[in-house]
Amino acid sequence: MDPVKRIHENHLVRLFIVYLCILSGFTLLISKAFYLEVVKGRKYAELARRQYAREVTLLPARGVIMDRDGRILAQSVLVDSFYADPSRINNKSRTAVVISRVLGVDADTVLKKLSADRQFVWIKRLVNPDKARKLMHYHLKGVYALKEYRRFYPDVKLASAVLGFAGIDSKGLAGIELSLDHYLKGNPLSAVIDVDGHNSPVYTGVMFDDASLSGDSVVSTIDLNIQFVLQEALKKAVEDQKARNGVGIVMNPETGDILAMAVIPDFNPNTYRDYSLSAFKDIAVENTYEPGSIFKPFIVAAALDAGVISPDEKIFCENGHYKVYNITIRDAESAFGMLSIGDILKYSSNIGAAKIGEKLGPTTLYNYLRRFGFGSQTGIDLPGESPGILNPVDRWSGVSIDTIPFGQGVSATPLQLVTAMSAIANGGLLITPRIIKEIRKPDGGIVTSQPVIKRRVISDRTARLVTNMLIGVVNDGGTGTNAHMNGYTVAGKTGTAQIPDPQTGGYYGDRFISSFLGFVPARDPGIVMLIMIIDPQKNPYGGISAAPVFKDIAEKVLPYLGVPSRLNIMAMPAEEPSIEDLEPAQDRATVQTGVIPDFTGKPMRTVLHLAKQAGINDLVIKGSGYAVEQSMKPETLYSQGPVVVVFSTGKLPDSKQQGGSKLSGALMHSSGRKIKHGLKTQGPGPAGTIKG
Amino acid sequence: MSRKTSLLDYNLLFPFVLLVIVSIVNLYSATKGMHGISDLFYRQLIWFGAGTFVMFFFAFLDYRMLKKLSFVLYIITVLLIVVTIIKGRSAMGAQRWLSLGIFSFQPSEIAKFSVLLILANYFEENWLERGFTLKPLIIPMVYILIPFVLIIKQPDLGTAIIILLIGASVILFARVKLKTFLLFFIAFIVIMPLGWHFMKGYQRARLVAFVDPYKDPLGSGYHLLQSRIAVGSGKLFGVGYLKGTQSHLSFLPESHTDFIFSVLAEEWGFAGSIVVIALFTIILIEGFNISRYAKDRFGVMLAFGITLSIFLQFFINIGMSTGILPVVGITLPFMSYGGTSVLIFMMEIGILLSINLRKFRFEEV
Repeated sequence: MDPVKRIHENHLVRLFIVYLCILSGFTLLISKAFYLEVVKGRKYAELARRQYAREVTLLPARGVIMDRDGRILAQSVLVDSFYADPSRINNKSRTAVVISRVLGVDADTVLKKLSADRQFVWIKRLVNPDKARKLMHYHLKGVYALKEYRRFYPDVKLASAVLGFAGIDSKGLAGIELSLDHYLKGNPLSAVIDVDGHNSPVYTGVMFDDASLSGDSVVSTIDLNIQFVLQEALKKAVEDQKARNGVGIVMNPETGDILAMAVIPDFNPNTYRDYSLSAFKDIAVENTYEPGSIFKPFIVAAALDAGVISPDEKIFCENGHYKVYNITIRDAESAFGMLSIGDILKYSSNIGAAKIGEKLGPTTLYNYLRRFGFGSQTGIDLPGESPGILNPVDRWSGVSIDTIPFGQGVSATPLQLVTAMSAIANGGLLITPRIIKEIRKPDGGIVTSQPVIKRRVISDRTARLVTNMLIGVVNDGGTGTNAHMNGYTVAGKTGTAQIPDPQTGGYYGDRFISSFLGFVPARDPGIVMLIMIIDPQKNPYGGISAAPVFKDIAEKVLPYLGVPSRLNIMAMPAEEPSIEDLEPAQDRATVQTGVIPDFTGKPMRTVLHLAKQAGINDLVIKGSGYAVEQSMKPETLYSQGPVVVVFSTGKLPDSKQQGGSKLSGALMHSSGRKIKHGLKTQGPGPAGTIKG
Repeated sequence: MSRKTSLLDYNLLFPFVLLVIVSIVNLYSATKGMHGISDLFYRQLIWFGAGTFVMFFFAFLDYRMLKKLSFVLYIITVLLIVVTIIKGRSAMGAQRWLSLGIFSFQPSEIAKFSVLLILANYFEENWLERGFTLKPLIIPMVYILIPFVLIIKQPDLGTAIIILLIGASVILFARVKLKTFLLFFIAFIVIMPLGWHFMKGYQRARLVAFVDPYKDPLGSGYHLLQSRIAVGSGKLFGVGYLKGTQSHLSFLPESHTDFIFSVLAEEWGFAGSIVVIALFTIILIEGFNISRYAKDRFGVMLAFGITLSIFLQFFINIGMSTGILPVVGITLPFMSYGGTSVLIFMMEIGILLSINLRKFRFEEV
C-alpha cells in the first residue's frame, strides 16, 4: 500500500468528524447571528439607541447686566474648556506636566485623568483666555478645547451684593442674577445628543450660539460711578472702624431708582466658589436691624401729620430719666428739660420721641409706620427681601409705644429705611424702590420699568416741616454736624442703635449700629442715602462714624449728578428757615385756581404743589426729575381731563453737561487707583474690561 | 519558483486575502476614535505587511525543516512564558506581554503553535498505527501541561484552554484506543468541578454572567450585554460603516481586540456576519483538505493542528461575541488587533501553503 494513502485512510474517519464539527460550528454561529440580528434586531437597536441618546438642554448666551448708562456689569463670554482623549496621548506624564504648569492644576490629578481608559476626560473647564492661549501654543497631542460660556464680572467686586452671581449651567444664584434669572437665561434648546459608554456627552459640532435665543439684557438703575464712590467710602469706613459690616444705599427719591447699593464685606463674583454662602447675602434687603434713632423722623412726621403735635410745641424731656412701667428711658448725652419738636430730633432725645409716641397712641403710630412701608416688603426686584418686623398693636408690650419711637422693638431692612426717608424727601409719597431700569430683548424690544408711587404717606406740608427739622440735625449743635456740606443743605438723622442680645433678650452693652440717614439737597433732593456701620469698634456714634461718610459720598455724587451747588449760584437761603418760608414764593405769586400753571423747569414736588393749588386733581406724571413738557399750555383755563407733565432725567437741561464734566473731577478727589478704575469702567470696549 | 507560485493553494489564499481586506476595513472603524485614526490601525497595517512576508517565506520553505526546530522552539517558548510571568508588564490585570524594547509580544500566542508543532513531531517519530494507549501519551501530555499550567498562572485562562483543546484534539486525531479514550473522558468529568475551585473571582463571575448577564449588567455581565446589543442592533444590513454607536461611543469594551466581530456585525449587519463566518469556514475546510492530502504524517498532523487552532479561536471568539459561549479573552484570528497574533497566524497560513505545495513529490522530478 502507498504509504501516503495509508496515512490518509488512517485519519479519514476522524477527519470526517472534523468536517462535521466545522459545519455544525458554521451552522451554530450563523443561526445565532440570525437570531440576534434579524429576529431580535429591532429590540437590540432600541437598546443601543437608549444607551447613547440623551435629551439635554443646551443653554444660550446669558443676558448682559448693565448699569443705568449701559456700562457692562456682567457678561457671558465664550472661553475654552480643555478636555483630553487619553487614547491619543503617547507621553502622558509629559503632557500632564505641561498642563499642570500652564493651568496651575495638580500634575498627579491630571496624570490620573490622562490614564483613564476612555476617549473623553475634562481637564479644566472655563480657562482664562491668556492661560488657554498659552496651553494651545504647546499643541499637545490628544488635548483639545471647546468653547463654553463663562460669566464675567469685569468690575470684580463692584456692586457684588446687587449683582449676585450665576453658577454653572447659567443658573442665577444671588442678586439680580437670581431675581431676573428668568429673563437673563434666555431660551434653552432641547436637543438629543450622543453620550458615550462613560456617560460623557459627545461633542460633535459647534456649541449652541443662536443669538436670537440668548437671554435678555438687564439695565439696572445702578450708576457704576456712584456705586464705586459709595462702595469704596463704605469699605474704608468699615476698615477704619474695624466694623463687622457696612451697608450703604443711594436712592433717587423721586423715581425710587437705586443708584448704588453696597454691602461690606463685598465679594468677587468671578470667583464665587472661594466664599461661604453667607458672603452672598445682600444684607441691605435681606437682613433687618433695629433702626434706633434714625427712626425718630418717621414718628415726628406721623405726629405732625396726624395733628397730635404742632410744629412749635415744646415737650418736657424729664431731665434725662423717664420711668415708664418697669423701664427707665434715658437720653444719651445730656439731660434735657423743655425741647421743641425740632430739637428732639436735633439732639435725638429718646424721651421726647417716646412722649410723641404716647401722644400718637398705638393704633395711629402703627398705621403711620405701615404707611411708611415698615412691616412689608418694598417690592424691589432683588431676592430674599425681608418685610422687617412691625408687630400689630395687640402684640405690643406695655413699653412698645415708648420704645418704638426711638427705634427699639421694631426692625427694618436698610432699604425700607431709605424708602421711608424718600417719602419725607419727595413730599410725602411712598415709592417702590427700583433696581431694574429696563429689559432689552435680543430682537431689539425694550421693556422699560416705570416708577411706581404706592401711596401718599404724609402731606407735603408735613414732609417739609420734618425736612426743616432734619436740616437742624446737621446744623450747629445737632448730632449730625459731621454731615454738614458746603454748598448743599443736608437733611438727615443720626442713629446709634444698640444691638439686641438674643441670649438675654436685652441689648449688648458694647455693640452698636451707627448710621446716618438723610437726603440732599434738603429742599429739592437729588439723593437719599443711608450709611450703616454695623458693630464699629472705634466709635459707636452715628454722628461720628457714619455722618462723615455720608458727606464724603454726597460731595462727589452731587456734582456728578449735576445738582447745582449754592456755592456756584451764590443764592444762599437762610440756614434755618422759619415756618413762613416754607411756602415757595412762586407758589403764592403765580398760581390761581382754575388756571394751568407753568410747570416747566420745576422739580416734581413743586409741580405737585402747584397743581394742587391750581385745583388740578387729575395729574399724570411721566418720567422723573424736572418738568420739561406739559400737555396743557400755561396761563390757559383748566376745565377738566388729565394734565400730563413730562419730566426729564433728574438733571436740569443746562446743568447736564456741567455734570458730565464734573464726573472726572469728582473722582479726582480720590486716590490714583480710583481714577484708574473710574476710567476703566467708562471704557465701552468689551475687550479691555474682560479680565479673569 | 514561478511553478511553485502557480501551485499555491488559491482555494486557501483567495478567501484568506479577502478576509484580510475585510479585517483592515473593519479595524479602521474599530480603532477610529473621536479624534481621528488611532496609531493602532497603522501598526496593524505594518503587522499585516510583515505577516505577508512571513507567510510567503514559510510557504516556500520546506515545512519539514520545522521538525528540527520544534524542540528548541518549545523550550524557548516555555522560557519566555516564565520570563513573562516574572517580569512581564501588566495589561488588563494579566501578565501577557513581554517587552523587547521597542515592541512587546505575547509568548502565549507563540505557545499555541509551539505545542502543536512539537506534538506533530512527536507523533510522526513515535507513530503507533493501531492507536495510542496511556503510556506513550505521557510525553505529549507533559508537552501540553507545562505551558498550560504556566499560562493559567499568567493568568490567561482563554489561551490555556485553547492550548489544552489543541493538544487534546491532536492526540485524539492521532487515534487513541477506546479504553484510553474512556479513561480520559472519565478523568475529564472528575476534574471539571475541581477547575471551578482554581478559577479566579472574575473568571467565575464571567461564567455566572454567561448564564444570567442581567444579574450584573454594569459589571460582569457588561461585556456580554454590550456585545449582544452591538451584534443585534446591526439587523440585516447593519447601521452603516463607521456609524456603529456601540463601538464609537465606547459602549463596547475591547472593541478592537476581543469584540472585533461585534464591531463588524453592528456596522454590516447579518449580511456582513455571514460573509466573515463563510470566509472562515472556507479557509478551515481548505486547511483540513491540506491535512488530508499532506504527503507525510508530520504534514498531516501539523496542518490539522494549525487549522484546528484557527477553528477553535474562530468559534470561541464569535461564539462569545454572540452569546453562545461565556466571555473568555480569545481574539479572532486575522481580525483582532495584535501583532504577535497576526504574525503567528500568517506564518501558519504559510505553513499550510507549504504543506499543500509539497503534497506531490517534486524532489523526485
